[in-house]
Amino acid sequence: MNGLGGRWVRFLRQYGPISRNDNMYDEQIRRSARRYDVKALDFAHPLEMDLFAAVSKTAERACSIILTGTAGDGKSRLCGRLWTELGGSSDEWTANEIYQEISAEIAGRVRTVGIIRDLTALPTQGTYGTWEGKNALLEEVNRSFFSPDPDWIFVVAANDGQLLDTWRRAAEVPLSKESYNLLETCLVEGKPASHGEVAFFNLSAVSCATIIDLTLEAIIAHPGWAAAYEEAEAEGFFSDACPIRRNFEVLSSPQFKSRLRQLFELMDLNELHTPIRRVLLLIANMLLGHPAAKDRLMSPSDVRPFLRAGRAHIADIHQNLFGANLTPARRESLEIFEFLNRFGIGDETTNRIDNILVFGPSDETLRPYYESLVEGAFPSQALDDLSALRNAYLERPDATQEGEHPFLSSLQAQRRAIFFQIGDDQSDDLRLWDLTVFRHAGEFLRDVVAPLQDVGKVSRSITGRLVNGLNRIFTGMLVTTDRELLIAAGLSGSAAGLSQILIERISVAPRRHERIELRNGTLPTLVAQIDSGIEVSLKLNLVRYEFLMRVAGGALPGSFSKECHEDILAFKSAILAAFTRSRPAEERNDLSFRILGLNGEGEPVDDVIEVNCA
Amino acid sequence: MLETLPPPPRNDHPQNDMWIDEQIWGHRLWDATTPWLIFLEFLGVAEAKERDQCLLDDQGKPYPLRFKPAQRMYIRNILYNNEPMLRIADEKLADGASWDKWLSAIANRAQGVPLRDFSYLRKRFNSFSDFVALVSMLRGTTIENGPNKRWSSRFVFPFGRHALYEDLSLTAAREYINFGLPGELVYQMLCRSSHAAELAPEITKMLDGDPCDRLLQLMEPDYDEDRSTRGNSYLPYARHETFDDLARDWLSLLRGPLPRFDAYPHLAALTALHLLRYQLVVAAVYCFAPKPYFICEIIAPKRTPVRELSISNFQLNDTLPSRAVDAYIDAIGRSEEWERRRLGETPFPDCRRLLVDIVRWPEEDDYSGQPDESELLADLKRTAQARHRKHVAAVHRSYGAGAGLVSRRGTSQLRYAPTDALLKSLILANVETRMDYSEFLDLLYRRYGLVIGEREAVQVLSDDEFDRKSFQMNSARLERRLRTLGMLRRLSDACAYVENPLSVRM
Repeated sequence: MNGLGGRWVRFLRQYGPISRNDNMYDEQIRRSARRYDVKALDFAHPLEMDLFAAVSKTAERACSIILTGTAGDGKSRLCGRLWTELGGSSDEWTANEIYQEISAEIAGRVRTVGIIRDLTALPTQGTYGTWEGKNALLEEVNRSFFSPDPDWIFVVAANDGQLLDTWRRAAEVPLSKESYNLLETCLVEGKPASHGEVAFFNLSAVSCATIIDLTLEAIIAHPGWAAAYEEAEAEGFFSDACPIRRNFEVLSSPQFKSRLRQLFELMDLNELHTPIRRVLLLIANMLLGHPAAKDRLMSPSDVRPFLRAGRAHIADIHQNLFGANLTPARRESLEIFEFLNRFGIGDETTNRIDNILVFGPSDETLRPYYESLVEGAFPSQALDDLSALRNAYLERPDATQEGEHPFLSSLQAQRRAIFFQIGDDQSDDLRLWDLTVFRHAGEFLRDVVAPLQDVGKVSRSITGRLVNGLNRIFTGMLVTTDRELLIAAGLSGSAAGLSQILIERISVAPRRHERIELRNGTLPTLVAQIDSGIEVSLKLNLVRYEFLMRVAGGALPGSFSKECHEDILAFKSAILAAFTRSRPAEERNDLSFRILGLNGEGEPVDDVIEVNCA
Repeated sequence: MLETLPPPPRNDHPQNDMWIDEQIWGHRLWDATTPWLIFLEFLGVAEAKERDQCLLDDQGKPYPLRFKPAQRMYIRNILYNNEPMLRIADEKLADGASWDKWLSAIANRAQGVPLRDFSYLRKRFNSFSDFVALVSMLRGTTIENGPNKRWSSRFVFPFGRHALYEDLSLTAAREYINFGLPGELVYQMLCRSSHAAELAPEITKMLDGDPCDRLLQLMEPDYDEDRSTRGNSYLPYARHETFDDLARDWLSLLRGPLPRFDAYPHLAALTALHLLRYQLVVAAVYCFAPKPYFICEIIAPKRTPVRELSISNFQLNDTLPSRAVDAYIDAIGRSEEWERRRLGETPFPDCRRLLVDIVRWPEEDDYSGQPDESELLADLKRTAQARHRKHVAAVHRSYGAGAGLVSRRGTSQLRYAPTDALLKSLILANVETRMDYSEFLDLLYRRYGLVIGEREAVQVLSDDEFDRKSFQMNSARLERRLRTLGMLRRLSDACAYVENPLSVRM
């Protein structure tokens, strides 16, 4: 246990959800790495290349750099890497100075680079290079945004919330208002501002999928694991039955990794961001989580006693992934677990899956599924426990003192394991994604996101169903048409549920200047072209896609997500506004109403009623 | 004390057996109504005044407010007293025959119309079925107002001036049950606010232009309706901060990106909220109490300290109006004139006459109590409170519930718990594009007195009442609530923005 393997695992614990002061994270990790004498995790941040390019000799122009993001995105780490890239020594860097300067050749000539490690921790009084006090430093930073060829450029690292706050509070410093506008545009709208120049790196913009790839690879490839195999103790740490080893092997399996990556891709498609620090926390918790261990994370020394007590199998990676080993309060306070729990994996289910879980061992047709999905996922100890519970339940389902039968509560863990066991080839047959709240997630990934990225378009049936969902929301009626988009307005505003007045029908298939299609972008985007050069678009994140498909499938627009409903109605308002702009109101002496109704098949019919104003 | 306008001549309101609530808040704040009805009543007054070309302009004479609202009996009969229409439509007769049958049926049924002849409709609609379809379409926009059984009290959506009419009984007499006068008070408040000149053009836009308004115009014959003059209300203050608050929200909503009709439910809700504030703010001045605030619980799954505080806060605010009535009467008893009369030769009759002058009570020969002036005052208090409890006392609860501020949801007692709809109205009226979340909480406190977060709570609560953690959680719950409604964006740990969903999306 004192070999590299054991030390590596003890070090890995430091990344997990133990209580710790987050401000000193980097420092503590480094110190732990030294104490345990292991190599700390090291991988290149995805934005590192671009960052270095901004300060290279051959850069086009020299401008100040803003590194922002939430806590744990890697800002401090990147500052350190930048320091060494510019020629500084790593010893000087670890001396914990909040402001350091270095000279380097950037964009053709030598300039001075001032690095502010953490803008909010910068004391108001202090000597920073040649400037006295925070305001003087800020003034110089502001100047560097607006001069075309500055002698001094700055690297400023700050959390996104405090970034804007600092500039807003420093109203008396010259050029602060302009800087604030510049930074706000970069941050909130993500596009370059029109006045002033800054290299803005929002580390929160890095996709979750990229982060999980990098972190998994870095952890799995660490030499500590190979060492652990060699140090395996009989009936102890890293033996055959050791839960840490079991979890590691599951984590390294291609099947698990690919499903996990799909979940992270879906988080991206849901516009959720999770910083690197939290993903490392998640992985450490997955490998080492156990509800009965100290800090809820196992150490090598816990393995033998747990195995002896027959409780080691509770450290199930599938439960740890959702933070089941933690207290509910802690779980809710850590965003990454909250995000993952939003999928509802373990709570959602289908009859088929539950039948396999309950009747699998005893039913002929279900048995093969049971063997491949359940028996493959759990260690023998766990299977024995489950078996006992199941038999008790089947014999006397009502025999509990309070709450539900413990077998039923164990179903959550089983469903979670099955979610990761079901292969892509079986996903349609067993309806994998019905085990989550987002039943159409699989379809979204496979039939929308992937084709858009590969060939730039999706099949007509997908667009058709989306249009059908939109129609039902736009009109408030259970209409069935997927060939055209019905732009209907209510008589008394959008507050009323029913929209009876048909303004226009837009054809899905390209016709003259109309068309409706899905286009690629940061998110798949539904674009309605209503006239030559006039388009209105709706970004489809995972929730909106799910919502539209459910409505198309018959769900009521008021269910599933209020926000989505409002979003779609706002999309309709935008289309209506575009129509009014493109077709100027003609002076009409007559009065007519185009009333929308449904025929027997649910198809839309409109009736134009004219009134004589003479 | 607040400076008030002189009370109106006694004979203007012969039905009022006392004049206390009216002098404090106006004639009248009526409890048995809904925000929409107040809104419709207001629109009716505005339309009449616009016709007279003095919209929101009292021309220096704040009292009396006189106006001639429309009655539009033809439209109302067609929309709501028209049972034969659908029956005849089902019979599927030839067009001419359907018209004949229906015209004679409606001529028999119609009430309140000067000439029982609806044949003008035939020229205007291409067919009877067209007519039926359009009438059904309009009926679908009727304002739902609870179990309003009589057809003469059903109101169509206020598309424009031709959709506005006053509330009538079945015998076409003006009644004050549904339009109980708060709408007239709202008109006068906006008129006296500092934004009246800016508001007038916006309100004018509400009266014309919509196709359904033109349709309703075509459903009326061309004639000059015989209109009666109305105007029974009295607003005691020439100026008040709540008038300006109300006007500012109206202006902000009408000028904002919301399509016009979409703004109406928000206007109605915020009007009710401001009326509630008006009542309490004025009451607090009379009682020498501090300005009222509202501790809002963002609904939590279980009982929290904030809920407790909100319940007691509600109960305290609920007593303010009745305490104001008492304080008003006490002020009479402390006044110089009262003292003078009390020390005079015939204290009792003199004091009694003073009361009759000020509060119109007791009835001249009706008083049968002790001939003692302090007993008289005490008796006045009792009678005034009993009268106050009948209606004016319930305004706090009624308008609060109507606006979406007061509710019993999740508990058995009333307290302040803003609904999603009210939150949306507040955001649409106050946030132009986006606003920092803590700035938003501060604005809610400064403008409306709503206390949600810890920074505002610490300003109004005493040390032992204030519980920082529970207010922090209250604020966190609001954040989550706004996020699920799509009205809040969280950038990171310290940085959340409230966003106006329309400005951002369009």
